[in-house]
Amino acid sequence: MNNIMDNNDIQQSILQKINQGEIKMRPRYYFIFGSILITIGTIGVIIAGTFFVSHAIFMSQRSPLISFLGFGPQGISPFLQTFPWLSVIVATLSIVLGILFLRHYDFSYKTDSKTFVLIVVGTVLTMGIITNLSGLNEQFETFEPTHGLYNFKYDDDAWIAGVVTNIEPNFVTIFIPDRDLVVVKIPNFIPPHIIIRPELQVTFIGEWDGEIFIADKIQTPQFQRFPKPSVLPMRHVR
Amino acid sequence: MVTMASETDEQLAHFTQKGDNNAFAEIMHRYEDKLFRYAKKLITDEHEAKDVVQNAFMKAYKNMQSFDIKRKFSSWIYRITHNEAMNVLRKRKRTTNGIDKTVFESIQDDAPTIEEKIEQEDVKIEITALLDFLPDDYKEPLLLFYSEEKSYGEISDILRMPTGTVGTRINRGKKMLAALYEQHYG
Repeated sequence: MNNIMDNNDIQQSILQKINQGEIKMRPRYYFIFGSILITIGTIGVIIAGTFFVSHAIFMSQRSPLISFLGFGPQGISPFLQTFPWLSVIVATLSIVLGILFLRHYDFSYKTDSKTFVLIVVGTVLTMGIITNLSGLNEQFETFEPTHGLYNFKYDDDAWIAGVVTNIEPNFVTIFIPDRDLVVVKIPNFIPPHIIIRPELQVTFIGEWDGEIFIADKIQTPQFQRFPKPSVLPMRHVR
Repeated sequence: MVTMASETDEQLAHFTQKGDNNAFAEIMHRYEDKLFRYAKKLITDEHEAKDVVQNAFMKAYKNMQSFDIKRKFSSWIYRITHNEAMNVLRKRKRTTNGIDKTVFESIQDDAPTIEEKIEQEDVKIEITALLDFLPDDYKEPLLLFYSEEKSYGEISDILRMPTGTVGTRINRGKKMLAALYEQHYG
């Protein structure tokens, strides 16, 4: 077998193309500009990943997410409705993009692929947790351009979540952000470990009857970040 | 006047960046046969290997300004050639080399490497002939190691994998070669 090429074949052909201008060297600024874009992109997606991880945690802490699953099949729909999909999807995309961008840098392939991915994912998750703990989400929530990202759904046709403000026989009044106060007819059966008291955080599954929510089941989740009303109204609704 | 033959690869790359096409001609002169041999070993087709080398040189020229002359030029040009060869292989969708893979499954950690095997049996064989039967993950580093006499560091640069992985694959590849040798000649 011939292991050596016919000399000059390729050389002549390429030199001819170069001289005729068919092959042109890309200018230095093309690569400088590309590097700058990649750097900005990398920083951008890492920041976006961090923000959306912290946002996902924040929104999960604000929701009775896990408690919905305690309702069984009836809880699946509210769980899916309140799951912070957008944050999780954007955070995941950011991490994937971050990994792809970082792969551009020479140092990245010196690390084992799995270790590299773990480092990136670990870094973004850790930064997201720290960002969440720093209280930055509360700042963003009151900041007009990002305010819309912090709207949480506390009620729907078949479920409702809030804080008990008033108790009457067979009825409680609960506070829900955006809706203010709602009267709930409590279920006939309340598990013995649940003692309804003011400021208790509750989630009900049931249906609406006009302005009153008729509950079938109750759960007592712990919203870690339930938005508190500035003055919690403690009045009888009915 | 600069004598091209006495310049290092990196200096030639620098001259090319400055617009000296003779320097690039010298680069091609130095690497044409080496890259062709490497590409042919990877894709086992002379004509395609020629295309690979041609494309690699054209890409190298186009992207010459991105080459950092503080780095090793050889690793850079091999890397480009490797990528071109991989593109050809991907198009072919060749995933196996037609070898019965079960021969590799029983290889133990303490199995002899091909070098030990050769020493033990006092037989000299053409190692690169057996390389064609290895999975690409092992074939590529071994080819660079044996055929192109590249260091682990250079192989790491060319194949874009950690040096530790290069070492592991070369070591494992040597054991695979020993197993292949056993199967074919044992």
